[in-house]
Amino acid sequence: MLGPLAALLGHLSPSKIVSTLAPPGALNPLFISLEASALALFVLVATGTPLAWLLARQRLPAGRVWETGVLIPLLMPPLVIGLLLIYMVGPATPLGRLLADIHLTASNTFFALVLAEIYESAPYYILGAEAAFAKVDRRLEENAALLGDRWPRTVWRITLPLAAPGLATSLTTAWARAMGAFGAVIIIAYHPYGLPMKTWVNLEEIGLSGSLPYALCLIVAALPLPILAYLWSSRTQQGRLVS
Amino acid sequence: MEITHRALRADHTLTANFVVERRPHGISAQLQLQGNSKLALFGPSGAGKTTIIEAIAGLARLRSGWIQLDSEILSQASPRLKHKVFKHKALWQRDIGLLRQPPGLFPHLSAIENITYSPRQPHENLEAPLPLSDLLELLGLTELASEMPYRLSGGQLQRVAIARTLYSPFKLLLLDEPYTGLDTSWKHALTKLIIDEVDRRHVPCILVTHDLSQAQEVADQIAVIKDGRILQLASSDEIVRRPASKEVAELVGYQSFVAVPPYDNKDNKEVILAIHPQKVIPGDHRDLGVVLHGMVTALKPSGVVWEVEMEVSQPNSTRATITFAYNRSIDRVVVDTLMQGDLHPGRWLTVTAIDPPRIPTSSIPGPEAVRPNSPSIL
Repeated sequence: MLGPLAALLGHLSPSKIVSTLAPPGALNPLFISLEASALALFVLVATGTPLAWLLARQRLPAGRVWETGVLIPLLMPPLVIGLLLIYMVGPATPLGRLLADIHLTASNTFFALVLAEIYESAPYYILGAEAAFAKVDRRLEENAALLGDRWPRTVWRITLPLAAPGLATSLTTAWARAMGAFGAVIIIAYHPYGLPMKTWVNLEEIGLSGSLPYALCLIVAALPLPILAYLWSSRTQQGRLVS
Repeated sequence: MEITHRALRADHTLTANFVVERRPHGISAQLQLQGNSKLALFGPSGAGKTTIIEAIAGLARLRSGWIQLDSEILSQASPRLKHKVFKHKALWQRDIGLLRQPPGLFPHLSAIENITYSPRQPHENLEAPLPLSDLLELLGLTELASEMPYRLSGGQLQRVAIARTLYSPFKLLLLDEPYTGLDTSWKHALTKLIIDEVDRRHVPCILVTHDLSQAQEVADQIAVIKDGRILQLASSDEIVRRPASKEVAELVGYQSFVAVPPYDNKDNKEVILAIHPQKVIPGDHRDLGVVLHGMVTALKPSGVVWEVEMEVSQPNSTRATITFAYNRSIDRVVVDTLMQGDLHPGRWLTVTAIDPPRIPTSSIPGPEAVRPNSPSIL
């Protein structure tokens, strides 16, 4: 797994990195990726966390249907997701026209980029968060309630802290996937260029030497968080093996 | 001053008459506790004791019936729609102190954070807990306060759990096997703490245990439970001296059952006696109980005690086997010195069963049939 990473680093020289990334505007794809992914994750956390909790507690009627719905983008090739998105929210569709009424277009816009990233990364967060919530022992929540906690305080003091490691891992994995989203992005959000698109475009127009610095940029932006989250999570879990 | 204060405040009362869901049949219970009454639910594991207190705490569905604490209905099943819950008060509003088994300490919080977790505040009708430092000291937790649960031993965890339950105000105390994991000295300390707290706060208390001596130490009344039914509800003395049925007698330690023919007893009809292994002495002591004659069939040394199996003759020429513990160190042995060296299989023996209860030979009574004049039955 680390092989390609080592190869990448082996092929790059610091001067090449600087000359590619230093010119004004060269880092724009980085900022666009960061903004789009941050927005995508914000939407995911706001809507996906309650959904994950409801699924974990089996409080949703036809929960399995919802779960399958969330699972599908995980199983489909991202290119296909992109094509399906055109048919769902593209400018020619009813939803697309609705979006146009609020001045949003789901085609080659920043909004489209965020949308594509949400679709590609949602399953990672929602299913991971569901598992994290499911792992929280229901008896602990019951005990908190019996001691006098209203439900929000139980969630704040018991459920979230105990689910936190799992939530962190899911969130940062989703981050990495959002940052690196490409298949759906190339279909509905060719512009504006995020890091993956810029890497691809430079590969086509210049060659490896032009794209590797952006690839490195992508790795540096996407990878550390999930790894840190994973390390933090396993360290915290060790101190919690008590009934 | 204290007594007058007590008399002015209304007693907390728990009344319940319900059937709770549990396979294969439901579990039924009728209870009434007032003031500082202490009830022990005693029985073998799987009998349904935990299910009963969990139902009262709101953790199990009622199939039928209701549970009421003071003037509030905690749970009520719908009379018309089967399995539909009519009323179910939220867990956080029930003002109940519950210690579960296993206790379920919060693993991400330290001992002291666990103990002080409850946000419930005392008020006029809800007595405050003991001061924290006193409680920690009584349970030997002062040094362990900042430890995380994963670093504590089983006994320490149990004490932290007890402290967490006791460091909150409640109108009713429910304890599920609170002695689990505690060594003997802590068991005594806990008994004293439970009794003192229940008396001080004047709240009813239900204690679940499979150990009869624990039940007898703490409780005023014992409910003997097996297979989801309350077999007998009476004082601990009553349970042991007058078990309502053979099942109850077995649960409280009677191992042998002997029929005494009509001409051998005052009742003038055949009577079944329950013989407790520790309440049999060698020799003829009619003033103490029923005298039995028989032959020793087996002997087993067990520390300072012999376990003796003896066959006694029965009506209709059948034989019954009784087991008794023959303690060589009790002073009755002085009187029966002839027995000592001569105790072996094949030897004829006369023994006295001390005050053996008479078991009704009719079928086991259901909860409705349990003694109606006892104040604790509905």
